[in-house]
Amino acid sequence: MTPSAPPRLARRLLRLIRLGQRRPEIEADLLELFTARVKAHGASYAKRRYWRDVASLWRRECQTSPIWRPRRLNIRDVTQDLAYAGRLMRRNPGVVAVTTLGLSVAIAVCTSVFSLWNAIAFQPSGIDDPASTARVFRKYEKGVGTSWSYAEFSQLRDLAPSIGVEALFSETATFSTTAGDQEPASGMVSFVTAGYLEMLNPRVAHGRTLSRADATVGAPPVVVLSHGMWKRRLGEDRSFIGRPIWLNGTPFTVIGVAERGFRGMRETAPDLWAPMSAVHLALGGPPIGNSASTTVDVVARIPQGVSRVQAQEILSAVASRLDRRDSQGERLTGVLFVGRDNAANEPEYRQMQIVFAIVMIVIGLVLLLACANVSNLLLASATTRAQEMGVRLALGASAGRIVRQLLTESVSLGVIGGASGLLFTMWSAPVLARMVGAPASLEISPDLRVYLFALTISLLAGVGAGLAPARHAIRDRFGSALRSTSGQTGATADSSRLRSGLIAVQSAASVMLIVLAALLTRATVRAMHVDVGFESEHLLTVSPAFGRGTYDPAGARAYWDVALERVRALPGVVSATVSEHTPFGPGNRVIIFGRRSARSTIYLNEVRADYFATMGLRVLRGRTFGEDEMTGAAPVAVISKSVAHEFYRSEDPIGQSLERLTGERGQVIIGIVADAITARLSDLRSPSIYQPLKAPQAARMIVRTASAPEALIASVRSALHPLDPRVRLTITPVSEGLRRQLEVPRTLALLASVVAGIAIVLAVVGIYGVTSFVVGQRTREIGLRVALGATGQDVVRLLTSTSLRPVALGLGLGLFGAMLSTRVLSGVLYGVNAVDPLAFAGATLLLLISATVAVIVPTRRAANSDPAAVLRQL
Amino acid sequence: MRGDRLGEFEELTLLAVRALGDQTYAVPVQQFVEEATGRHVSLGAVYAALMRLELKGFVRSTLGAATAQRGGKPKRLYDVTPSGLRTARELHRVREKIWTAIAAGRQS
Repeated sequence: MTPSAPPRLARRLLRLIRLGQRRPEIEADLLELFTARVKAHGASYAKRRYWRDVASLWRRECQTSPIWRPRRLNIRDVTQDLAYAGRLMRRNPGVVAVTTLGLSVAIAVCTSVFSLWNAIAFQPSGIDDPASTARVFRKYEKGVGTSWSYAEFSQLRDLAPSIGVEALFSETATFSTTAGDQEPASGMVSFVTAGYLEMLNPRVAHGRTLSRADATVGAPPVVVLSHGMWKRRLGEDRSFIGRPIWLNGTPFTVIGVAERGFRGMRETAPDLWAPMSAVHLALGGPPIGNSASTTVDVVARIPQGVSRVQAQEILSAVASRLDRRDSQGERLTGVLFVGRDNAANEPEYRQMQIVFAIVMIVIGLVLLLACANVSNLLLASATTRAQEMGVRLALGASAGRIVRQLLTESVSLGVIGGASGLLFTMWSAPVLARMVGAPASLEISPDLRVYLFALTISLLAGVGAGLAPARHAIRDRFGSALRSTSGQTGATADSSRLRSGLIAVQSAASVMLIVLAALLTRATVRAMHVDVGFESEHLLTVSPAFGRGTYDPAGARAYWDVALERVRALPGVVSATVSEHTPFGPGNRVIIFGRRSARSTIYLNEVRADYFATMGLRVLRGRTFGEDEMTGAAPVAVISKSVAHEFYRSEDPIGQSLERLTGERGQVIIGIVADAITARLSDLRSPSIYQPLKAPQAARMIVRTASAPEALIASVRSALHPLDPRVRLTITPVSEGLRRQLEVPRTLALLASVVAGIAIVLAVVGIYGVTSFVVGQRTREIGLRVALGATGQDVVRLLTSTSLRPVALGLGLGLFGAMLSTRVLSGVLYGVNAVDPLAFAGATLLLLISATVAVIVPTRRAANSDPAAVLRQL
Repeated sequence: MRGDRLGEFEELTLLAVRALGDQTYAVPVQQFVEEATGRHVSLGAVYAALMRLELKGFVRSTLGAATAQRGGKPKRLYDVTPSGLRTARELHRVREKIWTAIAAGRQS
């Protein structure tokens, strides 16, 4: 039997304990005990005891070693500091309130942005290996497209078996948790092919995900819920798993709930995923197959050992061989892989980044402002407490002790601000999310990371604000404060430069914010009075949700014919029409149109002939569509005035053809109508091309009413509902869409105004504080001057000019910064000049007036003081 | 430190050194105390007690010669000093007095 040895790890640990000269004897003792114990009680007992002995030595070392012993923080000191901080705050409640308010707003805004960023950047897409999956775009001679026919997809899948190709499409559907629900909710269903979810391998919160067996034709219909839908609509009730929910009235069994944050290959998560093989059960029409005119998105999984470029080449080769009849008449040249990692290059993301950049600037400014202010408040109070500090130092308080007290004060201000800021965040984060247009499915509720962020910036703000006063306090050291009784602290030129710097920063930041707020407010007011080119107050839009495949074009046309007839017969309805897009409604079709040297984006809309009359767009030249042109979808087009102006200039566009449009050749321009802004308010230039309505199953109705349109919603609904009770109708006034458009600038303006208001108050408080400080320092000088014959006015003039110098400096910097930052903002400024003289002049005036008031009040007080009393103190 | 007074564990350690006869070292002390009290005693505790006793002047230590039995490593040998002995006896006497008083109280 081999003698057992002490546990190796314990021996290693023993080597780490500093035993000094006694190591050999201790090691020998341990070994001897170990051997004895092995003999008496067995090896495992001996090993266990050896461990305990080593641990006991380690513990002892921790207790005795000067390195390991934690320096005891004297609790009494800390509570004393906190009590002091509390007393200080009670003494200046107003200033403290404003300062913490500023801090809390700053922290709230920072935290809101962070929580949004956190949601976008940190919350995973839920895909295991995002790099190995990609959306497959189609490439053809004229550009890039996203939608494939189902026939194309199945060929891609069959001809490139080495690459996993899957497809999906989304459709709105009603769903309810009971069989006969009269008012079912509607949501987005993603119909996916057999391997789609398997390929992305989502983790499920409950139940299971879709398997290949679920996606075979004839399998019982099942769905997987998104986490958001499960939470919002089903109240996180686990018992729904295994139970049916009704999609458009057909029961589907819930088999699982995807993990929070999983959204698949799309930017926004659908409400649920269902197998494509069950699409006819939910939406009606024929089962999915090559004959169905279904368009799908295609995604690919890049197999291991194949690079993305190689995979793209393999699929491109297949795509270019596809039957042209299946390719929507266009010759494909290949495919393009777009992964999630390069989705950030998509334009909508870039716009969001710009907004983010602006918000970040504002945040940085506000946080800086808030810090500068707390700093100034503490600096000013340091004046009145200079004597106290001097006494403390003289009585033997260490500099560290004093710094700690001052930092305790500023950090507690920071923490109070942070706590209230966090509360504020609960409200402001969703507002901000809406402002930057983040999808509703984004989960922005704060998580641990957000709380840690808030805590960190609160502490940073606290420490940052406390550093200047702390430095000032220990700089003073002995003597000067103690000697002086008039509040002269012997502050160096250096610390007064620091204070001036803080004032300049505050002035600059508040001027920038005021300019921003003014511009945004003006933009909002202006946007509210933009002439959209048509009368929008008396318009209703009716959007029916035809299920996919329920209506073919002829059926939809028949539906609309009856619907129009019924609606027109309603009292209070002036006229009604049907078009592809409605004013300020969802979705726009935009193309890049080029002719000769001119090139720009143009809105496309397919309309019925009576669209122009219902909208109130005047026909300027030529004519609109005739009845036979409507039914035959003739190759004719009506252009808006701005198109004629931009592309045809002196030529006569009537009779010319728009050959570059959507591949259809030779659309002849037959008329010119007045301009109308129907898509985005910020786009004041709204060139449009109108074509006869070809796809009535995707169209909406526009109704012009004689009086308030809201009053007619119910009667329109009851007129249309009996036509086809399956069709879900969404009826909204056009003015509502318009208001939604105004929401972004209005919210931005509101936010900027609030922040600017706080900024100016903070700046005034800061300037006031510093001026009282400086004036206090110069009391003796003032007394002397008055005694020697200076008038109160002279003194005020002298002090004011000194105090206002940093304000002027900050003003200049701020105006310059505002000019730079508003340039970025021009996208949401609705035609307001980014260098708007009124806004800039107003901001300057506002800051100067408030700064002057802040300076004059303490200055006058000093000037009016009794020179005799001052001189007696000398 | 508690001056020249003894904690319970220190007292036990001191008595163990005395009981084991002079020139003893940590291992036998640990074993003795463990056996006498019937509870697990860690070597670290014994070292600490011996160190404190030495600081108070109740024991003194010398480094013994290296022996082949311990792999050529030395051991620290402990003796009880006269002052240690006195303190131990004093403690014993105090306790005895108390116990006598208790016994007397029971009889009366």
